[in-house]
Amino acid sequence: MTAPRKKRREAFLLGNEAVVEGALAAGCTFYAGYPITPSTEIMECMAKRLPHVPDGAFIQMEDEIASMGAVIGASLAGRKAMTATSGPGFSLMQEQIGYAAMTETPLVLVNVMRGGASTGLPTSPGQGDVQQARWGAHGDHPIIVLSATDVPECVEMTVAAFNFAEKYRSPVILLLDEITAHTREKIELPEPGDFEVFSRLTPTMPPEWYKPYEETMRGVPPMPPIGSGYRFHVTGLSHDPLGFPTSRPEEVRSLTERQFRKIDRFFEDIQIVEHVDTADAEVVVIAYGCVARSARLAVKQAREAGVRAGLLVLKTLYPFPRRHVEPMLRNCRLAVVPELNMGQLSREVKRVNEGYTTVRTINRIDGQIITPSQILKEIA
Amino acid sequence: MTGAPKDKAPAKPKSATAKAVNGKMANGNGNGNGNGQTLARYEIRLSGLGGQGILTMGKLLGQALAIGHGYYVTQTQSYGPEARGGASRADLVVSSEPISYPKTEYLDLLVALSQEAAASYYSYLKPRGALLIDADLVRQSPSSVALALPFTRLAREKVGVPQATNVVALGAVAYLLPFARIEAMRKSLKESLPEKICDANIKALNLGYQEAKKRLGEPIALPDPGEDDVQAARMDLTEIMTED
Repeated sequence: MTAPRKKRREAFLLGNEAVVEGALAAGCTFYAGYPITPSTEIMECMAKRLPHVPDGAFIQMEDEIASMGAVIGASLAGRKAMTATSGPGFSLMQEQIGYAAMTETPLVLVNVMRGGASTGLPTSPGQGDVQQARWGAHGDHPIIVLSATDVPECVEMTVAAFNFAEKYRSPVILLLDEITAHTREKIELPEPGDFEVFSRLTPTMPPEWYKPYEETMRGVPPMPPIGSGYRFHVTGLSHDPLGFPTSRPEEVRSLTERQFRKIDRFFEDIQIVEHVDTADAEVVVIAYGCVARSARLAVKQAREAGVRAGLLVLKTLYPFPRRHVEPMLRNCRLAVVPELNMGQLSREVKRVNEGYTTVRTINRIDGQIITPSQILKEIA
Repeated sequence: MTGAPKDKAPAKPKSATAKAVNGKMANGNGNGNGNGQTLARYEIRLSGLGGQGILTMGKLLGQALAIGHGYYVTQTQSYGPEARGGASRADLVVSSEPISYPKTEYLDLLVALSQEAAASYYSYLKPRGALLIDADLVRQSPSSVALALPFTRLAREKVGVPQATNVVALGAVAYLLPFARIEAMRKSLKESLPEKICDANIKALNLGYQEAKKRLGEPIALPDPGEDDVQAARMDLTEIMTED
């Protein structure tokens, strides 16, 4: 990788367009969706690109509910599939996020967060869907929620989202915000071989031996594409190892426990964070999405002013990266959590803090970004 | 590079996840050198009404500065939910250094193609920032030292395409920015626009550049980098104090 190489192709892209670059680099061949500001460019760009990808298929559906249905179907048929939406559409998709989690169907859902509840502020940023991304679908279910702060990260985290979806047979939600999605920056376009790309495990045993939800070492059962000779039944009901409905307590328990265990055992792989000057920090800012960029400047300014400040950028929001956050809270005198909502991720920080240190929140819900000086004021 | 002590992330050298943590590619690895001219944070706001092509203008300008000149550029946007007629603006931050905060704070250059935009954003200009307005659409300039050209009239009468207003203005901006080259703008136009409207737009770009050269005097002088730092620091503190 270090050898001199030819000049790479550069482009001045929106975060949304970078998501498409990441998806295609990860092997996505199916997109179904319904346009909604501020996520629309993902759909527009997919409509242009997918017809030129071998076996690529793009469908505009009648609404977000149907979009998720199509994505789940495509994934069961063996495709790497995704959709993108924003607030109201995300609410409509919740039921089938639960269905995908229960049936362990890999898929990627990009939710570009806008401001406010309901129709809210369609063209302004917000981060109000964090708890919904974790708990929007009913019932206990594991889920992976990622985020990105800038345009290059939109590529990287989309690839990560597909990899996690495939590795762990789980729906993965990528939470962006209007600013990250609608900021243009120069990126180097990904080329084959830039990223390690994972695809789901398929069964190797003869079809008559295959049990679709059998216990395995990793907890992630192999998944054949529909129509490849392996028979399996797909249901949102609690099911036994063969995939058929069951209400026997031990079977129900082992199903749910395995679904959680397959994520829990791999926290180290899934929980992605970035440390900026945290080693000796007595004040730590914990941020994600566009706000992390403000925090980066604020922390730099605070350092210049003589405050030992640090920044922890959370790129994985759920499973909550406790193993990174907790040690930091034990060693700092103040933690600041700025976010564009009334305090959603700060709940997790406070839960992990268990009263050890002071946790201060900065909450902004007027459709504007939290500025570096707003953060600086709290840490300096 | 394995020795980063602060990096506690999983170390799978080639995986996307590890890369996201280790290889921070802020603003896409530009060399940041631009045209040989070093830039501290230089902030530009293009503003007007929805439908005037403000966002397209922002993309064209940003692309030219980022790819043509190699600067770090972030271009953000703000617009209302209306399809046409609402306030619309594109903000650019241009720098020789990677850019953390992507939005603008204090403007070095404000381009206003509507009365409303000129009035609302004038107060964000730095003390010696430049204001460029559409001479016909901004009837009451908020400043007597505004640079004015009738972009919309030029586009309609000289190019014959009123939709090219934004590109005429882009031509003037290309002249006024001392670190920008008109060729980079031309290349950016050719790469981004459909072929059938390319000629008209190149014409509009050249027209804007020539008119600006003829009627707006010298290009903008960049502030002394040292002086700019002091100014920025002072402003930050003022803002903090006023918020208290």
